[in-house]
Amino acid sequence: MDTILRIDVGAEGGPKAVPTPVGDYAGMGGRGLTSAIIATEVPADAHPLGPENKLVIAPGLLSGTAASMSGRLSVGCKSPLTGGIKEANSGGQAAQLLARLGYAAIVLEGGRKDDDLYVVRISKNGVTITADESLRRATNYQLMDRFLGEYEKKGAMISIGPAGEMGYANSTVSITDVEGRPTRHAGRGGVGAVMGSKGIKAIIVDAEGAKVRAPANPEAFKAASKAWVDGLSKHPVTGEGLPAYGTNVLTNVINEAGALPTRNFATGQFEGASKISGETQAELEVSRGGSATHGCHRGCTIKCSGTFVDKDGKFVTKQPEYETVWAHGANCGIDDLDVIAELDRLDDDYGLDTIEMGATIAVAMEAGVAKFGDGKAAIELLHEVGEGTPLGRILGSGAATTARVFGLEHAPCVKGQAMPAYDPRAVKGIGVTYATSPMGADHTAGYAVATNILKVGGDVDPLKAEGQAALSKNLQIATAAVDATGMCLFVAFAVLDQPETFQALVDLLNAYYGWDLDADGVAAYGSKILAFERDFNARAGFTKADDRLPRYFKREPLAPHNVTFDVSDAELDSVFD
Amino acid sequence: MPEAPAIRLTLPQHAFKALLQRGVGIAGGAGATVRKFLEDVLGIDATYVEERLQTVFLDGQPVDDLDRAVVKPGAVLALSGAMPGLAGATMRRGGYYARMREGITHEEHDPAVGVHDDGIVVVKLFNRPLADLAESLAQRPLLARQGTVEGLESGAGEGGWVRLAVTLA
Repeated sequence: MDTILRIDVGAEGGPKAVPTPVGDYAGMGGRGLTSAIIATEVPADAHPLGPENKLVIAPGLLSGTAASMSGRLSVGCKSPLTGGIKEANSGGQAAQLLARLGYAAIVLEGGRKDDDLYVVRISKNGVTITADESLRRATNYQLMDRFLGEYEKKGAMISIGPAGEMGYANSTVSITDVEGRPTRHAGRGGVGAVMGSKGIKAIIVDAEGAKVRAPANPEAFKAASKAWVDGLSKHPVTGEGLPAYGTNVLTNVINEAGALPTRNFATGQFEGASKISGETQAELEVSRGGSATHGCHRGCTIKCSGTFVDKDGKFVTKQPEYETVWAHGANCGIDDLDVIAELDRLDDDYGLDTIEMGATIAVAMEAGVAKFGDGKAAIELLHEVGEGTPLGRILGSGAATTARVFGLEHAPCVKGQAMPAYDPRAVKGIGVTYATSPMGADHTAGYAVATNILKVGGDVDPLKAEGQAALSKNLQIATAAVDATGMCLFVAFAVLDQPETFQALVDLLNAYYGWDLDADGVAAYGSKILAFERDFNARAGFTKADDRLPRYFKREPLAPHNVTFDVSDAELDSVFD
Repeated sequence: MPEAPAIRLTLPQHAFKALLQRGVGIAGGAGATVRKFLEDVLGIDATYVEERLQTVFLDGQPVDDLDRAVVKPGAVLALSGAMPGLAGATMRRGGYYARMREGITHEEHDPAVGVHDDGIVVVKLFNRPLADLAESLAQRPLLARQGTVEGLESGAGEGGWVRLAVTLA
């Protein structure tokens, strides 16, 4: 991965691709690379859809190797949704293949000279870029129908749907899965709109002839790989819970805790939770001939995904994730898995972030645009978004904008990005991360990677209320480091519990690159990434005032526990001190 | 134990598991610590309790100490395996990230005073415990709320509970 493919979309004669050496970015990958490039090369006052913004697509440091779970792709830019730095992360096949073709990143840059839409084709033989007007407003599944023949054997497609073309602030970049379907998305923050602003509709990656990346120390790498897989397999979360039920295993648990945001964060429990739980979903899928155990990329051993089919056994969508089931389910008062699956399919097809879209529909329901629980109305609203009607364009701009248009205080957003499926009043530590992450309200920004091993910020008593700030900081640092490796974040639980599994991850990096990293080195890497991001946001005008939850979370208690978010502003400000 | 007519139902596995997610009533055993309730009343193996029931809720509050939390009459006890992600780690029994859920954590103010024969405890099973313990739960007398499963549309006694005898299809 010693090449960055820079595509100047404003070049004379049409977009031009130039392979360049990684140079000063050597040793960086995934979120580390996307954030470094954005922070270094994009003026912080750039308009997100303007020529100075860039879209960086980067596999992780271990992507393309034989290491299990290393197929995550980072997509970075200045976010049209938040106005700050953004890294959106996705599974699918593209990360492995781009890395094997030798690309550390693809950078889309410059300002398009016309309204044409382009397809980029990348293979071992080089890069071609062709205009194709017939693709205008094509959905992601329509693009699959058109191009599957080109990428299904050894390739992948990275694309935007109509949402990205229309510049929606909650539009995604889609990445195809093992079956070639556009079911995996770099979802948050409107990255699809930036790709659309560059006039790039699809990137077809053909890795025919590309080899698995060879480590510096093959024997050590093989040993570390074995320890890594052993650790993931034996852990009850990664080895049992996730493969059996998917991420939606969380619905019953988070609901029981009174932390499942329901009807636009009005309460913390949903009476229909068991109807849309992971347990119920797995049973339904399997009984209809679908699957509850499926990996989003080759090399995944956790296999937390699945396939959702309708009552006739016909494919509808990949197994909806916890976040999707929450956003389109409990948060909208909908308790029908078939409706939720249809909404998920539409999100994938139009290229929309399921979290932001579900949060937005819930805001619209509170505004009276539709009734809570009306699945048919939710589907109709999604079609309006995909078709670009005036109401659709409002909804496609996200929950914060929709609340503003309809005159509502209840916009559950930080830095303009909607909160995910954990109410911060019930889980205050997650609320600290929502408030302080450079990404906006983000549930993956503060994941756990054995911080009791990393000991970043020192040891703190886990049962004391004080110290949420230090814990959030530890987690954000650790997560940033994992996001740079290309590893799926679900490795975190096994790594947290099993020191030997964390060590296996460090050993993989060292064996592949010939490094001598230790736990402190991993933490330093994560800190460096966060420093890039915070610096960019500061230059973009963000201050401590932006590291806050909406005031109503401090004022309005959440049933059933009647709790409010009472972490002080001083403690929030101390997270990165 | 309330006066309630017994209804025999043959249920497919998925219907019984759906019921267990919503909760079934267990008569007797209230007043014990959570651990004693699980082991002595529900008959769950001690090793399974310690190693597999990694997430336990009592009245919606995550429990850290199974030997201190007390199951009172009318309590709702929910059992789960280890959960993914930060939220899952946060809810975990005695987990390192427990303080991230400060404000909803179970705190026991009334010590165990011994087991009562009266009183109903609602038990919910999720994910791995649902798969592992459903069959054994089906073999004991249970209570269910009227209307919570097909075949239980009538017959409720005191408190809306119906005595249930389940045969798994």
